[in-house]
Amino acid sequence: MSGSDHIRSTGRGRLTSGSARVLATLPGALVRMLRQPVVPVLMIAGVVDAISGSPVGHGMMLIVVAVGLALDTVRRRNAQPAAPAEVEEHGGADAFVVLAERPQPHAPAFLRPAPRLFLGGLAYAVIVGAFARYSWPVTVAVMAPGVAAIAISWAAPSRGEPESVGRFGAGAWATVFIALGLWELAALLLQPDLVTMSWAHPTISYLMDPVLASHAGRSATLFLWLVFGWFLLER
Amino acid sequence: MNSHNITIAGYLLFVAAAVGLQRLAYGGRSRIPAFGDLLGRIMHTRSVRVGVITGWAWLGLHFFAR
Repeated sequence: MSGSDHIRSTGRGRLTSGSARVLATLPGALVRMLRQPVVPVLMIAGVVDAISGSPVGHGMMLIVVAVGLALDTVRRRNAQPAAPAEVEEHGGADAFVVLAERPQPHAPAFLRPAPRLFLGGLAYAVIVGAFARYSWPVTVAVMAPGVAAIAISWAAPSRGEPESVGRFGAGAWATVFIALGLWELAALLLQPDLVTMSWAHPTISYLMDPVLASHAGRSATLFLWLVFGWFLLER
Repeated sequence: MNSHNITIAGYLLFVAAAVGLQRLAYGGRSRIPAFGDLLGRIMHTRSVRVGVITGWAWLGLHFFAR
């Protein structure tokens, strides 16, 4: 065997064994990804959003985050191999989630409750509320805090395991939100088609239209949206 | 009562149920967690945290952005 043959053969050998290793881990990685419902939920929501007539960017954002989360989880898992004690403590099936995702965010210092934060949010709502819906200025103005909040939540440091919540209480809340989701879905499907709104079967979006038609309504909605985002980042 | 009003009554019922659960949560020795505590619990993993915040961001885009 010549030198170049040897190099080619060795390189091919490495490639083959590397590919085989990746292929061998794929089924397990797929199962683990599916155990995190967030990734498939975001994927499905992104596709449904796109086919229901929303601008492409909205659904794309959901899909991009889903793909990012899946890749990030695999990367973190590969970078930080499981410690047996930790795996044992949390149970084999869920160990991946525990090891790949460190708990609880700390909101950055600039998001701590303060008068200037409140006034800043109010000024944002009043200024952005003056822009027409579905215009480029409002798109940029809404996209900016959205992307920033996703980045903050992604990079948030650990804060330890929160207190557990009983099944009964969690089930009660889940029942309300799932029922609301199904009610909204029923109204959406009872429209003449997915992109034509119906007075007889109003969706939440349809009911919000009169509110968002005025500057005051848009500003109030934007302010509540910001407050809810802040509330979520503080969890 | 027409279907428009029935649909809106349904939404109001869910709002009332959520407010009721939140009130129950602050009652003594309640088995119902406050909404914030529930969120704190489910958002302690990165994927759920990012997923919930993404849902919030999508809401803003849905109502305002092109």
